[in-house]
Order: sequence, then C-alpha cells, then structure tokens
Amino acid sequence: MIARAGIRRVLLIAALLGAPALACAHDSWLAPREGGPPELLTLELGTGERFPARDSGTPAASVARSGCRAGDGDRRPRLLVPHRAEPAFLELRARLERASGVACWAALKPQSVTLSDDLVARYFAETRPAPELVRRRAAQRAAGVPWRESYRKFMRVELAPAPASEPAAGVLAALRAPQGLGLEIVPLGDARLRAAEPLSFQLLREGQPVAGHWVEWVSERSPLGVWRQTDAQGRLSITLPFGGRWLLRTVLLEAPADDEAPWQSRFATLLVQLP
Amino acid sequence: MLDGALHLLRQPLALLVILAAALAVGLPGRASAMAALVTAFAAGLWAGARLEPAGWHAGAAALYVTFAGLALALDRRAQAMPGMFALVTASGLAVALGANLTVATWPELAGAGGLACLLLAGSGAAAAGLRRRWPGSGPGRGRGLRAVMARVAGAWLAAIGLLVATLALQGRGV
Repeated sequence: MIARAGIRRVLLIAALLGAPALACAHDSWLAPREGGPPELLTLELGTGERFPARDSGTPAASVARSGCRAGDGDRRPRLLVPHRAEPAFLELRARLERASGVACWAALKPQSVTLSDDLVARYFAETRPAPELVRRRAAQRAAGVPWRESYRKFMRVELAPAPASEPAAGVLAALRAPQGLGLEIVPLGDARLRAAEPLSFQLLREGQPVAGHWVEWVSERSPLGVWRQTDAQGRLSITLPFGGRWLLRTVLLEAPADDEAPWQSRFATLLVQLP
Repeated sequence: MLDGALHLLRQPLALLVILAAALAVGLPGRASAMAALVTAFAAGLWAGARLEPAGWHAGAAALYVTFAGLALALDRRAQAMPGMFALVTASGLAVALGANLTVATWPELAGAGGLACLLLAGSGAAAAGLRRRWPGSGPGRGRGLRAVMARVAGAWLAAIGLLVATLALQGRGV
C-alpha cells in the first residue's frame, strides 16, 4: 500500500515536471517581493496566462479594495496601497512586518471583454464550468449570440511566519479569516502549510461555500495543474508533492438572464508558499 | 533616492499641492522667509510620511488643495506670515498623503522630499521674480493686478482640487 502511494507520488511529480504548458484564462495574483526594509511589505499584482509568467500589469485605479492582516497581535486590517504601476505588475505596499505571518487580499473593479468562439472554447476547457453552462453557451452559439463577459477578480496571498518563529495558537486561523470577497479561496485550520502533508481549503462566494466547483493548483515549478472539485461545504483537500509557490485558481461563471446581457464571471486566486 | 524622486513626478495630486504651496512661498519675496517656509514644508512632509496608510489620504490631500486655493483667493490672512506657515506646513503633509509617501522607504522619502522642496523653492522663487518684474508694480495698479492674479490662480486650484477630490473619494477600502 505504502509502495503504491509512493509510486503514485513519483508519477505525479514526473507528470508535473514534464508536462507541456497550457495556455489558460488570464489569472491575476499577488506575489511577495523579497528583500526591502522589514517594516514594509511589498507585493506585486501580476496577470498572466499561466502562473508564474506575467504578461501585464494592472492600473492602480482598477483596485477596488485591498488590505492585509498580520500575525503580530494587532488584528486590525491594514491598508495595502497601490504604489507603482510597472509594465508587468502593479506594486502594492503595506506598512507591517511579515515575520509573524501575513495574509493579504485585493479585489479589482469589474471589466468587460468580448471573446471569439475559439477563445471561448479554450476558456471553457481551462476553467471547467458546470455542464449546464456549457449547454447554455452551445445554444447561444447556435443562435449566433456573441460572447460578452463582465468579470471581476479577487486574489489572496498567505505568507507564512518566519521558520524560526512558532505562531501562537489561533494566529494563523485569524489570518485565514474570510474577507467577504466576491470569490475567495481560504486555507483551513491553524497549522503551517507544508508540502507532502494534507492541506484543506475552502471556496467562498461572499462568505458562503461554493459546492461542486473545480479549483486548480499550479506550481511555479510545473506548467501542469492539479484539479480538485469542492465538496458540499465548498472544501477541498490535497497533499501537494513538493514545496515552493503554488497558485490555487478558479473561475466562477454565471449565465446571463437573457442573451442581451453579458456573462458574469469571478476569478479567484490564492498564492501560498510551501516549505 | 532616484526612485522616490521619479515617483513624486508621477503624482499629479502631489504636484498640484506643491503648486498651491508655491503661490504662498513666493509671496514674501525675501530669501530668508522663503527658506523658513520651505523648511516648514519639509517638516509637514516628514510628519505626513509617518502616518499610518489610510484610504482617505488622497481625498484629504485633494480637499486640501481646494481649501488652499480658496484661502489664497479669498482670505488675506493666508497672505500673512503665520497664515503662510500654516499653509505650507499643511502642504507638506498633503504632499506626503497625496503621493503615498506613508509607504515609502527612507531613501525614497529622501528623494521625493528633496525634489518636492527643490520644486517648491524653485517655483516660489520664480513666483517672487515675476512679482518683482511685474510691469507697473508698485503701490497702485500692480498690487491690484497681483491680487487679481492670486485670486484667479487660487480659484483654479480650488476647482481642480474639488474635481480630484471627487475622483479620489469614489471609494477604496480595506
């Protein structure tokens, strides 16, 4: 039994490391920048077809809300300020120390997009919408209705406490508290996230669990993702095979009430760093 | 430091505040008074940069531009030394808030603050120079024209500040 589990893990690692890259819907994510003064946290908000490659930044005016919570005992949310827009990312800063662990989040203002049928087919393949949505789009396509979409993006990042410090009970759970975003993925529990250990997450839409929805894990070391579907409580469990940065990503699509209205979508990402 | 200076140049709201402060700094026309006013501005900027970041900062800086413009346009007390000191100190604070210097590193703060003081001193000196060279300057017609110019500039500042404040207060939250 143990040997079989080991073989499965080796096969998963081999597949993750050797798989060809897939082009995907444009995700946005928050990633920490290393270095800099200890009292300032610097994050980079980037957008790309496939994590970790970024191909565009975001204007500061697109940020609807952003904030951070630190594990330093001060439970107040701190403002995460857009500081500088670069071609590949938007730099955001918060005045706090990350040694005791930090969780940050950002929500972008709604944007509209029009896609060709080919791109919609690829989009669906890469976001795994529910079968009824696929049927609804097929009917629209047969009727010649173009794809129009209004999308919103929500992102979170969790930065673990420094390896030397052991967080007090309840600190990590407090960092992981949902922020009531339009869609968010939050880690569950009060333990550090580690590779090769069972991890649990929950998908929430404005604080409510989203059941039966697909979420993908993407590592910075592999172009191939690992998909899991949420249970009735919106929960997912997985044991990730190796450390480094992992991005959890999902897209929640909603069909329009009539063909004149655009589709509504919510993108959510969570970046975690596993030792 | 260069990053901080370049960052300041990309902040229209902060540059607008510096313009408002320059109108006040150019009023006395004496180098010693101008140096004292620029020092007060630097002190305000440093104090502003130590504040905790908050979502209302940009809106407050824009509203300050409106206030400063109206004060320069309508209130003679703003053109007396105590009024000018209050105005430029508050201008320094507003620059720090408008340019998000609350999350700047020390070298960035030095670069942005140094450039802000240079811009203020330069534009203040230019304003003072214009006043001295104003055709017909003297106790009669020149003073009247200068008063009209100050009111027009102040009114424009107030209008632009109101516009920027409306945009800034549209809402960002944690």
